[in-house]
This record gives sequence, C-alpha cells and structure tokens, in this order.
Amino acid sequence: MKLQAEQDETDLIIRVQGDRIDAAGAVPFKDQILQLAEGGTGRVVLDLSQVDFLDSSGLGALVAIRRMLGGRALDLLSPTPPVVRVLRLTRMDMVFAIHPAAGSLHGA
Amino acid sequence: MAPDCRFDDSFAAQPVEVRAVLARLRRASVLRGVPPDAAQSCELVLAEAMNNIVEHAYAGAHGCLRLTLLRGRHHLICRLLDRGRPLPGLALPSARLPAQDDSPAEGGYGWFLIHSLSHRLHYRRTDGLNRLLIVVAANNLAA
Repeated sequence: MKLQAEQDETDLIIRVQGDRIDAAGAVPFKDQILQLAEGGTGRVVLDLSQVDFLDSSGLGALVAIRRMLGGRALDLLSPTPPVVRVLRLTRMDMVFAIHPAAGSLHGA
Repeated sequence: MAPDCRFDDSFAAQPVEVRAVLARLRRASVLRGVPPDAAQSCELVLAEAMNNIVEHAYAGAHGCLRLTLLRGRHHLICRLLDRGRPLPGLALPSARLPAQDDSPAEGGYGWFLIHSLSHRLHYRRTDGLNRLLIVVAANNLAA
C-alpha cells in the first residue's frame, strides 16, 4: 500500500493512497503505519479519503494500530461513505475521532 | 444492452484471489444500475464470507471457491461453494458484535457485518460441500 506521511506541529498525517484496506493487505498496512508513526510525533491522523472499501480485517488493523500506539491518539480524516458505514455499524465511530475534512482537525 | 442476470466465478481460496474476484464483480454487468448502497453491502458481505472460508474452512490449505450471483427483481442472490471444513456445529455463527471490554476487540466483526447487511442467510453442508446462500436487498432493480 502506498502511504504518504506529512508532519506538522501537532500531527503526523498519513495519506492512504490505496483504495482498499482488506484481508489481503491488512497486516502489511498495519506494519507500515506503525513504522511511519515511529518516525513522527504527536497525534497520528489517517487520511482515508481515497479508501472506498474497509472490511473486518482492515477494521481490526485500525484497532490494533490504535492499541499499539499506546497513549498516542489515532484519528481518521475524511472517510468515504462506505467506510463510515462500517465504522458506524461496528460502533467504532465511538472509538476513533473522525474528522470529516482537514479543516476540522483542530476543532471548530 | 440489458445487464447480465448472472455472475459466476471459480478461484483459488486465497486473500488476493478474493480481492481479485471482488474487483471483477465491481466491473461486471450484473451490478450495473444497482444502487451504490446495495452494491457496497453485497461486496462487503461477500468479502467477509469469502475471507472466512479462506481463513477457517480451508485454514491455509489449497482449495477452490465458487461464487455465483443472481440478480433478482429486488434482491442480489449470492451462493458460495467450498470444500473446506464445515462451520462449527454446522450452523451460522452468531450475529453479535464482539464484546468491548476495556479496549475494543480487534476481530470478530465479520459475521456481525454479514448478518447486519444481508436480508437472508442460509447454510447447508452436504457431501463435503459447504453451501452458503446470502441474499442482499436491492430495491427495484430494473431487469
């Protein structure tokens, strides 16, 4: 999976440049994100605007990344409607902070 | 030209093959004109069911999986066939969300999603063959 990381003063923003986080790619995805997170500081923000498919393995990877980051926050940015649907159905919208757009990253 | 009323594909039971058949299904004529919500539900339910077969029925062993999808007037009717191990207790697993104790569960969402997004489910084991029937609602599909 192609990922692009960008560090600003408060956040490490990682743009996911593949269109699916699924069973065939969940483990390397998790490892890549954790490796990028080590090289940055602050909150980890995953930009999911290009991801239009998330299955239970991909969801499990997100939960595992969140746990392995320890006290560091993992937020989700710009998830697409099919991804939001999975997050809502599984109540993971209560676990992850979800930002509809980059402008909402730093509060209202 | 009217969309096909049937999609039929056989493939090796591996995660990358599951991803590939879902990509073929996305482009297939059988889903043309299906409302996006219904097509997305169908893709996710099939992904969960097929990955479950790869991971548990075959559990890493070589095997074959067959997907047939029929387009009805109001439903997408999917059938999955495999020759892996039967579902435990020869029954569909529970529809429950995994328990969220101190921290959220990292697995166990698959069957919850299958139950949540399907209209009807039926499982049968005969002659060493698992047959899973999944019906996804799709309102007013033009023929």
